[in-house]
Amino acid sequence: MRKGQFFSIDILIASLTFILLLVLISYAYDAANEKTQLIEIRNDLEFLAHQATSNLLFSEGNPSHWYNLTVGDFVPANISRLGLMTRQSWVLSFIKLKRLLELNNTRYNQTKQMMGIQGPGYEYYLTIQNRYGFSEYSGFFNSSAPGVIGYTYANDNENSYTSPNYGILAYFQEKGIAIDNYGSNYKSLLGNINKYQIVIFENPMLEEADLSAAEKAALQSFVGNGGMYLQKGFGKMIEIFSVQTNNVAHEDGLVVMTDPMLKDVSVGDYLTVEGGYRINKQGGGLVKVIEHTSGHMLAGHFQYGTGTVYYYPYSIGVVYNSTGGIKFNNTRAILNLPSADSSIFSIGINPGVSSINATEIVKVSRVVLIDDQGQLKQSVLDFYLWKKCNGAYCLE
Amino acid sequence: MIKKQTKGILFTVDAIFAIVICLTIILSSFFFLSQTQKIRYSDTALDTLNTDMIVVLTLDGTLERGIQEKSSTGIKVALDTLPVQACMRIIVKFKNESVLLDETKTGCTGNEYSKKKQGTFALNGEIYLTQAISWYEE
Repeated sequence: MRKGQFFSIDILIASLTFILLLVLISYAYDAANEKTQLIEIRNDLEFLAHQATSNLLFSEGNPSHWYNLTVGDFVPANISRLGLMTRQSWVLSFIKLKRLLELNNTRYNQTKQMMGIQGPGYEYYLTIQNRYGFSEYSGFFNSSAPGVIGYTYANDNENSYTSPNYGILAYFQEKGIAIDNYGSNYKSLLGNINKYQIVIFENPMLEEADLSAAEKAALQSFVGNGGMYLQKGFGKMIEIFSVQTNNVAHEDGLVVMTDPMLKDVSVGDYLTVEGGYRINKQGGGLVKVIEHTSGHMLAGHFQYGTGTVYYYPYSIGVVYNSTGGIKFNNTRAILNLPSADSSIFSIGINPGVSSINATEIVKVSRVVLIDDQGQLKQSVLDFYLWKKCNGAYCLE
Repeated sequence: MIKKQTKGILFTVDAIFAIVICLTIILSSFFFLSQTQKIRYSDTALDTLNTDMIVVLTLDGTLERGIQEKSSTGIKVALDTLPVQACMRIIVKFKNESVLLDETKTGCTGNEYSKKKQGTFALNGEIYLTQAISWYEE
C-alpha cells in the first residue's frame, strides 16, 4: 500500500450505509410528497362534490326551465347553474333527470361546467337508484327492478319463450333486465310468489287441475292483494281468476283502445296471431285492448281483488296498420314491456371501468325523492367525483 | 515470532442502535405511506344521511302511514335502499319517550360509533319524536 492511500472496511460499510439511507430518505420524501398532493386533490374533490350535489338537490337551476332548451342552446352562456329540484327541496324532477341523461353523450363537458366542476381532469358520475323503478322504463309494469319479477314458462313445449318465437323471456335477456327465472319450475315460483310484485307465466300450458289447492290459493291471494299476473299464450289456469277461455288460432284482432299495455299502435290497427285465447268474463269487467272478431277479448286485462290479471296471445303474428300496411312482423313488438332495468339511472362517466384508471374517487350519497309523474319515489342519489390518472401521478 | 497483523473491525453498540433505529424509521414510514386508506363515510356524510332520511320519510308520507298503521314496513323498505356501507336505525317515539316504531336496516348490527339526528313530527294533534341513528358497517 502506497503512502497516502487509505482503505478500511469500516469506511466502506459506513459509506454504503450512508448511501442506502440517503436513497431511502429520498424515496420516503417522494412518497410523502405524493401523498400530500393526493390529500390536497381529495379535499378539493370532496368540496366540489358536496357543492355540486347541493346545487343539484336544492336548486331548480338557473334558468329553472333549462330542460326545455334545445341541444344547441344547452351551453353555459344560457345556463348558469344546473339544478334538479322541483319546487320542493329534496324532491327531484324526473323530467330534468331524463333531460340530463339525454344530453349526457353530447353535452357532458358543459354539464360539468354548469355544476361548477372545473378542476383538471375531474369527471363526475351520477347514479339514482330506487326500488320501484321509473315509469318511463317500466312499460306497463310497476317496475322492472331486480327481484320484482318472477317468471316461468312451466310446461311450454313449443319454446315460445325463445328468441325465434319472440319470447318474453328472450326479450328480458336481450335487454339485460334482471328477472327471477324459474324456467319450467313453476311450483317453486308459486312457493315464493310473495317475494314478487309481478309474475309472468309464458305459454305455461297448465290446466287449472295442474295446480294444487294451495298453489291456486297462493296465486289468487297474490293477485287479490295487489300483485300483477301476466299470462301469454295457452294455459287454462287463467280460469282460476273467474274467466272463461276459448281457443283461437290464426285469427284477427282489432286494437280498440289505447292502453299502457300496448305501445306503437293506434286504434284501428289490427293483428293476426298464431294462437291464444278468447277471454270472456261473466258480469263484465274486462278491459278489451285487442278485440277478437267474435267480440271477445284477445288481449287486455281485468281486476282481481286489488291486483290485475293481464292476458296476451302468442308473440308470433303480424301487426298491420288500419290501411293494411305491415307495422311489425311479431306481436311482441307492441306489448309495452319494460325497456330497461328501471331501478337505476346513471349519468356521466363511470369510474368503475378499469381502463379509465380513476383515482381519488369521492362519493356523496343522498336520500331523495323523485317526482315521477306525480308519484314520489324514494331514491338514493350517489354522486361520484373523480380524477383521471396516469400511473402514480395525476395529470395536471 | 512475528506477530500476525490483523485489521480491526470496530463494532459499537451505539452504532448498531443508530443503524437499526434509522432503518426502522424509514421502513415504517414506507409502510404507512404505502398503506391504502379505507374510505369511509365521514361524520358529515352520516349526519346528512340522517337528515335526508327524516325529511324524505316525512315528505312522502311514510312516517304518517307508519304512525297511523303502527307499522314500520315502509320505513324498513326505505332503510334497505341505503348505500351498502351505511347503516341506520329509525325510532319513532311518543312525546313521553315511549317507543312506537323501531326499525333497523337489514343486515346491520349495532356499532359503538354512530351519529344521531332528531326531528319532530306532528299528526292529529300529537307530537312524535323521530330519531335517525346511523353508523358504518365494516
